[in-house]
Amino acid sequence: MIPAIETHNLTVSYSKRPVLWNVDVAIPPGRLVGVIGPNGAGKSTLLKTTMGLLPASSGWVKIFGKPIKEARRRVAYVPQRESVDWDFPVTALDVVLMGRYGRLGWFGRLKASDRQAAQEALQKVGMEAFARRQISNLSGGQQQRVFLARALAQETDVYLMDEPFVGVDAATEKAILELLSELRERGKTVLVVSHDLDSARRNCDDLLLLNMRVVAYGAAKEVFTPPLLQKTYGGRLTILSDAADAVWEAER
Amino acid sequence: MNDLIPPFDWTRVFVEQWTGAANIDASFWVVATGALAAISCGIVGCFLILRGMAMIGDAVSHAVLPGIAGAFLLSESRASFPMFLGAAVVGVLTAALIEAVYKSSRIKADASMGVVFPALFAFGVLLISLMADKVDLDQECVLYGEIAFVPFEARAEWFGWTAGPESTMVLLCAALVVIGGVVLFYRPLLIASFDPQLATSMGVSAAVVHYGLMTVLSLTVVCSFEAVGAILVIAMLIAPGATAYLFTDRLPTMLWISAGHGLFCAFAGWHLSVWLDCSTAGAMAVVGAGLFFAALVVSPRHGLLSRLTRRVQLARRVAEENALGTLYRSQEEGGDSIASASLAELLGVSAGGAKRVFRRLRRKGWAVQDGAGTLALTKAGMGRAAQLLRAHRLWETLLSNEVGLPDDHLHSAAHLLEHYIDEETLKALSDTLGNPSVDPHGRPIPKVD
Amino acid sequence: MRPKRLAVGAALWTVAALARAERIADMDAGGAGWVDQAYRFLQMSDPSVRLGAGGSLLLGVLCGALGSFIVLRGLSLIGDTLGHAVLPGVAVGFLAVGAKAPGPIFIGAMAAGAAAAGCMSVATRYSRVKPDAAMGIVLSGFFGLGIVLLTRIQKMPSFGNQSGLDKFLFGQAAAMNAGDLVWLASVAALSLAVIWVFFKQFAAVSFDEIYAHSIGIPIRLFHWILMFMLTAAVVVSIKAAGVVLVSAMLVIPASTAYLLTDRLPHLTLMSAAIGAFSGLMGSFISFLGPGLPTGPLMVLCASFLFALAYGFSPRHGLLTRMMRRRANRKRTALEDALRELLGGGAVEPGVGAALVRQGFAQGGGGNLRLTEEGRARAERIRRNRELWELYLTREAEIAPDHAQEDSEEIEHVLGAEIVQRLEEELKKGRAE
Repeated sequence: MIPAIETHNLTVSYSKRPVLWNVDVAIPPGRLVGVIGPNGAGKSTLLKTTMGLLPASSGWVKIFGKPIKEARRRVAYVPQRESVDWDFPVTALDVVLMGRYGRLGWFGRLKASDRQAAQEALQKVGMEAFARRQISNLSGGQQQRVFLARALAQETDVYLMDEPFVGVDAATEKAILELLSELRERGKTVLVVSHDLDSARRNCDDLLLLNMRVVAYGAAKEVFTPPLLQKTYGGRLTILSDAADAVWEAER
Repeated sequence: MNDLIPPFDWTRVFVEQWTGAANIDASFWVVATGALAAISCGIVGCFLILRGMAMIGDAVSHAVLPGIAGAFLLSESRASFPMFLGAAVVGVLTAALIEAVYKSSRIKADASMGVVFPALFAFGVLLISLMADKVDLDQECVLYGEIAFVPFEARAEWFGWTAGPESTMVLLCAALVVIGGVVLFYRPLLIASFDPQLATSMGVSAAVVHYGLMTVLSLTVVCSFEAVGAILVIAMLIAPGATAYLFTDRLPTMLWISAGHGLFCAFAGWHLSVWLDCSTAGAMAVVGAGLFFAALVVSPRHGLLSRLTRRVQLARRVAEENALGTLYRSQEEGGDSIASASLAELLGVSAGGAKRVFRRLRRKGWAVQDGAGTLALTKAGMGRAAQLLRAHRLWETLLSNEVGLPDDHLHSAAHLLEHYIDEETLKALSDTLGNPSVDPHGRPIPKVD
Repeated sequence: MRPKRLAVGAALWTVAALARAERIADMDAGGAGWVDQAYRFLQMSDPSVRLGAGGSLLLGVLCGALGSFIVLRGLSLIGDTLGHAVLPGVAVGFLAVGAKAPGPIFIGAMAAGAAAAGCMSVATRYSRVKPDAAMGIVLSGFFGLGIVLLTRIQKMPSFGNQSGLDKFLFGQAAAMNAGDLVWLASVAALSLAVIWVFFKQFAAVSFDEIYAHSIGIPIRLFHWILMFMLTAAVVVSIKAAGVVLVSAMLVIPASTAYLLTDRLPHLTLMSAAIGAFSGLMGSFISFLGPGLPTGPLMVLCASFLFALAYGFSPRHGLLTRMMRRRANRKRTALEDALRELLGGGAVEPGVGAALVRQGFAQGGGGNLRLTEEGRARAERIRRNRELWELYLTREAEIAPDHAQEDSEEIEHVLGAEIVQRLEEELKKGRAE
C-alpha cells in the first residue's frame, strides 16, 4: 500500500540552521496521527515542509507516492490561528470559500456548488449561524472552527493541522475531536500537532514523537512509554542544536 | 544630453572654492550648515534607528510643514521663535496622532502613518501655495531647501559680536542642544532604546523618553528645514546612523561615526553640487545614501565583501577537509596511495579543482606528492585528518544510536557536520556516546590526544 | 446625532473657508475669477479640463482599487518609498528624448522604481539594517538623486529653464496632455483587469499567505505582480498627483474604506470610489486658481473623508463606538435596576423614574412595583445573565468585544445549541 505521507532522509533548515534532521517516516492512509514533542522540536516545520511551504535541504516528501506539487489537491493544511490578521475584511463564509480556490485554478470563478460545499463545511463545525459574521467578531474557538471548515471545504484525503487545540474553549475542543474521528471513519489521514499529551494518547491511532529528529513513530499504545517520552522531552540531544548553531554561525 | 555631466575640473571644483575670501566664506558656511544639520539629525537618527522608528522620522519631517508655514504666515519671517514652537508642536502632535489613530481604530500602524503625515504635508503645501505672493517661501524650498543661499543671509548679531549666517547659527544651537541632551541623558536614552521594559522598571518613563525624542526630532527637523527642506532631511536622519550601524555594535562609536558621516556628506555634497551645478542638498543626500551602500559592501564585519570572503574561505576549508578525509581513508584501508588524477574523481570535483586543493594541502605541510605522482599525507596531515574522521564517525554513531537513522543515511549527514564541530562539542559528543571505539559501520574511530 | 451634524457643518465651513482663501490669493494675482474657472470646469467643454478631470478620476480609481491590497498587505510605507524613488527615472526619461514624452518617462520611472525595490531588498537582506531604515535611505537617496538631476536639467543650456519638470513634484492635473491620459488609462485598464480576474488570488494571498501557498497559489508571483502594478500606478499618477504625495492616494482612500466595510470586494470598490471622488475634487479645486498644485488638494479631500469615517463610520467610527458604548451602559443600568426590583430591592429615584416612563414599573418613591411587562423583561434578563455567567465560568473563552454585547442576544452570540446546553446545566444545578 502506498503511504499517505512518506518522507525520506528529510532535513529542513531555517537560514542554514537545521531544525529537522533526517526524518524518515511513512504514514499509512486512514490514520489519525498525533505529532507531539517539545517547543522548537520542528513539529510545525514538518507540516510546512510536507505542504511544500518550506524547502527541504535534503531528502524528499511524497503524498500518495507523488511530490507535493502534483498532490496539492489531496492535502489540506490548517495553519496556526495566530498566523493571520483577524481584522481582515472577510466573513466566516468568505474564509471557508477560500478552501475552494485551489480547485478553481487560475481563472475559475466560484460556483453554486462551491458555496454549497462551504456551507456544508461550516455546518460540520457547527458554525452555520455565523457564516455572515466578520471574523474578528468570533471567539478564538470559533475562529479555529472556521479554519477547520476551510480545510474541510477542500475535500481532500489528507489533513495537516497545526495546533488546532491552542486557545480554544472546551466546546470547540470537543467539536474538533468529534470532527477528527469522523474524518478517520471516512478513511482520511490526519496529522495533528498537539501539546496535550494525554488527549493525544487517548484520541489518536498513532503518535509521532518528534524532537529535531523522529524519536518514535507507531501505534499510540506502543510508543506512549516513559522511556520514549523521556527521550522526546528530555534535553539529552542538546548536541544536535549545538551543531545546528555551529553550522549557522559558520555560514552566516 | 552631452552636457549632463560637465567635465570634472579639479581647480574649479575644489581649489577655486577655497581661494579668495569671498569663495572661502561661501564654501565654509555652506559646508558648516550642511554638517551641522547632518550631525544633529544624524545623532537623533541613531536613536530612531535603534528604536525601529526610522519611518516616524520620515513622517515627522513631512508633517512639520504646516507648522512651519503657519508660523511663517503669522510672523512673516524665517527663523523666528514662533516658527520653532509651531513646528515642534506639530511634530509632537504628529507622533501622537499616528499613535492615536492606530490605537483607537482598526487601522494598522503603517497605514496610520501613511494617512496622517501626507494629510498634514498636503495642508502645509497648500498653505504655502496660497500665500506664495505674500511670503518668501516656495515649494522648491520645501523640497530641497536653499542651502546655497545661506552665505548671503544676514549675519546674526550676538551681544555685539557678528556671528555666522542666521540659519547656521540656529543649527549650531540645535546641534549643541542635541549633543548636550545626549550627554546629559545618555543612560536613560540608552536603556529606553535598548529595553523599554527594563527602563520602566528602573523608573525611566518610556513615554517621557519617547516624546522627548519626538520633540528634539521636530526641533532638529525644523532647524534643518532652511538648509535641506522637509524631504531631504530624511537622508540626514537615517543615512548616518544606518551607515554607522554597519560598522559597530556600540552606541558611542555609532554616534561618532554618524557625526563623521554627516561631516563628509556636507563636504563632498557641496563639491559635487559645484561640479554638477545642481541642488546642494540633493547632492548631500546622494552622497549620504551612496556612503551607506558603499559601507554595505565593504564594512569589515557585516559587509557583503567580508561575507563573501568568509563563504569562500569556508568552501575552501570544506574542500581541503574532504580531500584530507579521502586520503586518510585510502591509507587507512591500506590500499594503494592515490594517484593525483584519481583524487578529483573521488572528491567529485574537476581535475583543476582537485589540483588546487592539493596544492593548498601541500603548502600547509599536510600532504606530499612523490615523483610518480602519487599523493600521501604527512604526519601532520594524518593528525588533522584523524580529527576529522573522528568527528565524522562519532556523528555517524550518534545519528545511528540516538536518532535511529538507517545506515545508508549516516554518511551524508555526518559528512556535512564534520566540518563545523569544535573541540568542545566533539568531546561532549564522545562522552554522550560513552567514548566508543568503532562506528556503526564497524570502522575504528581514531583517537586524538 | 447632534455632534455628527455639528462636525459636518464645521467641515463644510472649512472647505468654504479654504476656497475663499484661495479666492483672495487668486484675485490678488489678477487671474480669471474662481467663479469663471468653476464654470469652465463644470462645462467640461475645454479639452484641457476634460483631460485633467478624466485623468484625476482614473487616477483615483486606479490608486483606490490597488490601495485596498496595499493597505491590507501592510505595504503602505513601501508605496511612499516607491513614490519618491521614481523621481530620478522621470528625469532620465526626460533627458533621453529631451521632451516630456510620457513613454520614455514611464520607462525611466519604472526602472527607477525597480532599482529602488532592488536596493531595499539588498539592504535588508544582506545587512542588519531594518526594513524601515532601508526604506528611509532608499527614499531619500533616490529622491536626492532626482533633485540633483532636475536642478541640473534646469541649468543645462540645451533645455533652458523651461522643462516644467517641477510639475511632477506636486502634480498639476491641468498640465496633463492626451499622451499622459492614454498611458494612465492603459495602466488603469490593465491593472483593474488583473485585479478583477485574479481577485480571489489577491484576496487569499493578502489574508493568509501561508495557506494560499498551501493550496498552490504562487504567492511570490502575485506579490511581484502587485508591486509591479503599484509602481506603474505611481508612475502614471505623478503628473497629476505629484511624486511626493502620490502614495497617499494609495493609502488614504483604502484606509477610509477599511473603516466603512467588512467585506473585501466592497472595500476595493469603495476605495476606488473614494479615490475617484478625491481625485476629481482635487483637480476641480486646483483648477480654480493658478499655481494650486493638484496633489495636495486630492490628498486633503481624501483625508477629509478619512477623518469623517474615522469619527462616524457606523461600525468602526470612534464617536459611533463611544455612543454605542454609552447606550450600552444606559441599558445595563436599566437592566440592573429591573433585576434589583425583581429581587425586592430598591433603586435610585432617577432610574426608577426612567423605569416608570418606559412602562416597566408603577408607583414611585419607596413604593416602586414592576408592571407585567417589566416583570417579564426582568426575568428574561436574569435568566440570560445567569447563562452568561455560567458560560464565562465554564467555557471562559470569548472574543473580548462580546463581553459588552447585548445580554438579550445570548442565542445570537453563542448559538442556540450552546445556550440549550447551558440551560440544561443551569436546571441541573438548581435541582441539586
